[in-house]
Amino acid sequence: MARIAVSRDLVLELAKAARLELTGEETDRYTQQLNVILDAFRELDEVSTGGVEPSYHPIEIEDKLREDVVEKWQWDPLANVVDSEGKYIRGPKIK
Amino acid sequence: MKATIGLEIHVQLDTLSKLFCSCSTDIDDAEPNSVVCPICLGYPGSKPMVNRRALEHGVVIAQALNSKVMHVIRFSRKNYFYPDMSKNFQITQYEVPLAEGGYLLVGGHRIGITRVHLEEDPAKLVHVGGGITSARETLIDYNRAGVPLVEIVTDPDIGSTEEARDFLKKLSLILEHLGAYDPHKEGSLRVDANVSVEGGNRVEVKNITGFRNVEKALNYEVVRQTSAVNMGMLVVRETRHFDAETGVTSTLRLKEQEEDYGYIAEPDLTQIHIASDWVAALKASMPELPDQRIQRLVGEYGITRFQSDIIVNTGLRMSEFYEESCKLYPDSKNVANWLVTYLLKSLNFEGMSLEESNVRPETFTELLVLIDEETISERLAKELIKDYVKTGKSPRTIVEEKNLALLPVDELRVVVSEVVAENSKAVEDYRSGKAKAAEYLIGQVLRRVRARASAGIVRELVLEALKEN
Amino acid sequence: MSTLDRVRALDDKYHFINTLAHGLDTENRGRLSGYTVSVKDNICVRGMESTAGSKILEGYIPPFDATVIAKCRAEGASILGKTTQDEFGFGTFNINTPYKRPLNPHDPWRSTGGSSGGAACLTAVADFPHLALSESTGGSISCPASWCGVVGVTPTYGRVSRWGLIDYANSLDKIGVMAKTVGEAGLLLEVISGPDRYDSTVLDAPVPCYSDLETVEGLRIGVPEEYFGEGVDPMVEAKVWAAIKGLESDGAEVSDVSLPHTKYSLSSYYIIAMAEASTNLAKFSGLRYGLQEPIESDFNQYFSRVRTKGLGDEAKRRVMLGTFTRMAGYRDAYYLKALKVRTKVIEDFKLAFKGVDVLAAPAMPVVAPRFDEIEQLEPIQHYMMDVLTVAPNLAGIPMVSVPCGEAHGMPVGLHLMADHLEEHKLLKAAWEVEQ
Repeated sequence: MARIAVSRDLVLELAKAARLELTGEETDRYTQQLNVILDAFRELDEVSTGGVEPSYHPIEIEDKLREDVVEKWQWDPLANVVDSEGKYIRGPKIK
Repeated sequence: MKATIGLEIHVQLDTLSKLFCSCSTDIDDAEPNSVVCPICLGYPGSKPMVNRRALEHGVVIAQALNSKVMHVIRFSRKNYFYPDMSKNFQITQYEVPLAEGGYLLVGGHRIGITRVHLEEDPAKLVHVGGGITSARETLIDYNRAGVPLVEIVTDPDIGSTEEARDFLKKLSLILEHLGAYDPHKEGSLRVDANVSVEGGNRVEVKNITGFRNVEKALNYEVVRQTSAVNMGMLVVRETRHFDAETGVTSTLRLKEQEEDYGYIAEPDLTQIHIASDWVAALKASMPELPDQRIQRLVGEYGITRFQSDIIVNTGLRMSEFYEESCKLYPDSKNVANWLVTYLLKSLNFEGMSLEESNVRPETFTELLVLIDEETISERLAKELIKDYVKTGKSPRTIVEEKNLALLPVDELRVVVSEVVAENSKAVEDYRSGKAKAAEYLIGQVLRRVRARASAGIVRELVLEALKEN
Repeated sequence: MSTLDRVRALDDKYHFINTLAHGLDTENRGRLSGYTVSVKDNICVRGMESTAGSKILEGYIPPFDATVIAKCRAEGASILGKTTQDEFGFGTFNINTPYKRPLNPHDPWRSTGGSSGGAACLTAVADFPHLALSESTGGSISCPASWCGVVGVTPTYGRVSRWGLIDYANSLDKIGVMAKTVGEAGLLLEVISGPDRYDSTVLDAPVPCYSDLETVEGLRIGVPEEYFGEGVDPMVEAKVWAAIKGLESDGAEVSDVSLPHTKYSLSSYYIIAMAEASTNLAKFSGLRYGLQEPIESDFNQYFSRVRTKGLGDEAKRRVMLGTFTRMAGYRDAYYLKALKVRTKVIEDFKLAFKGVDVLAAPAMPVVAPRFDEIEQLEPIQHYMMDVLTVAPNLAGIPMVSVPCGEAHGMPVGLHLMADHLEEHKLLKAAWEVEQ
């Protein structure tokens, strides 16, 4: 993998993508830490993986499919909701 | 209008339960947030489980589109933040779709299919106090979250807005024939369209519901883009939103700001092996497709290609209606004739679909029987059918209520005598050789009896009367 | 003194409980009758606050029981309460949490280990019948179990249903158990294992009797060379070797093995774990449950406000790192590469298990560190502390940490690992060590 110098801009981009607001100090600190960590991850370059299949799970799991049957949950979906309007859940506007 | 168009069509599958949980898909009349569970609401600790029936539908749809079904499939997480996402990722298929390739012939032109895959529907948003970009808040109903969708992506092979409309109509009909979706369910078909015209960039128009809106949106877009190019202006590469009420597309976001979806394999689901014998079995039991049905109706019922085309293309229910009617009334050509020429016309006039009306094979064929019995004239039947379509009352009932039965000959003779007596001038004209005068008298009789007589019989009686005098 | 009062008294001293049950059921019948079961705070218990150690789930009351909870209840267990942990499992010292930081019962100036610090702590100090439900992604059972001197069992991935487990990394998370004795650990493991229709990644394999523990005669033990030597405290190593020798004199055969991809398992593990975790945590955005704020501003601003407030420092770091490893342009080199390296790590183990039944090594390279020592560490050094546990966790193989003596006055754990679904071999070796 190419040498990634994690820039401050990249950290801000990551924070935005993850919906996190960082202070200036945090941005500096994370930039430094991410650089160290991602640099350490580069050691994987040493492993030859040509023709190797990725393991999405560590073990073979049997196919699981569910029958098309309706089951109704008896519960209150709004019990953990702070802001609701009638039966709707209130959310922030789009723009 | 000419353009380069590619479509991404999202179709809600007609399963009983959602794609990843056992909540019902019957949500149309449900109260908001009443058909939900911890899974489709994205509760922490909940995990998805794949609906077998949805997978079956997907495989059959892929085959109907001549697409190659993959042997092993996997689901992916498509990650983005939006208020309609219960998990802020959508479980879809990124790396390995259900099927790849395929095509559909539209008016002799081959429209390529890139891929067919399954994914979950997001929730429904109600924008309060404005449209999507001007609302002051959003109300969220998660009933729709998790409903199974099949996504069909076309190659950018569509060359005009008319072709796009025809493609969607054909696709919709095929899916209806497969029992995979219900075209009458609101929002069951949604389209993202990629449109470009020569000299301009590609623009995406997102989330257009129903194919009438697709045609409108595409027309608007092509005009907009073509005008821009003609005026030497830049067509910006962007994502736009179509407002069905105003008929206008507007900018939603610029492509440069596009989110990176950061796909990973869905780790709460296993890969799924799709056995070739299962695929073959599904293909063998695949319901009759529209093109097959058109051909069969011609062969089986002796109707014209033109008629069969109309019957099948109107919708699944219409062809079923036709065949059920033929079971009750043996003259299939007559049935086709009345259905195509008069019944459809009346339905269109009333702005009703067959499903919306109370028209039934039993009552429709009753109309034809009434004609055969000579209870009513054909001419009257053409009028009566309008009433029948509008009210759904059986033709016999209408005939009785409105006293429309053909008059017996004796009563007719009386009317003829009256008319002859009142129109001595016409009688004289006829006597002096003007044959047209007879037509006048016949017309007068028919007017008076208000079509409760066949023109032929009236003619006979009038000429008889004229001879007598 | 009632059991709950006893727990409160202990908690005042050691700080391991986030939420305590209001009352205990004492009339129940079943294999767990008479036992209290404590539950790591990321495993949902209906009606009981489940925070997963995070502020973003403060006050969250699950509307359903995790499958393991339902199984425990059905066997007569009494749910004691929710034990504290590192936020979402992100940590090796149980200090990454706005809730309680547990103290090591052997030395309150030292960490219990993490992320299941509360569970290990309570297991060590409980002087009433108690079993702990815990969870491991990269070593979160073995680490605190070894540092607190209790038995910790991490079963095969897919042995136990994850329905109701608040996810850290779905292809790595395993619910497991802690107890004072191997027999009790085996008992709880038996109860919670087995198929479950609510979790697609559960294995169909039948559950054997884990409490049936016989002799280790003829058991072949492999000692992986990469797990010893540089980086491991010599006194820890000495205790581990002593335990292995003990097993040998009981009739086990000991041989050397090599797991050549060991050093790469740390990076592979963290990349996969963070990639999955960053998507799992996306759902915490102030809607439907958990921390919610007054609805103002647009959705991106609202989500950011809630997440910034509710997620801790380590959580933010991992979410950003995980987002990076999935990004277009980096995804092949990080996420996909890590998944391929995982295959190599699994192959190492599979090859080794052709010749041996279990592997034996230290669970942790050092004994429990002091809190002031931990404060000096950089994040990367926290991660490196997991070096001996990440590989088996990555491979999804079962493992047991069983106490095998002390070094520097602190407990040392012997780590036994076996092939997929071979928990019974582990337990009988662990039981032998215990004698």
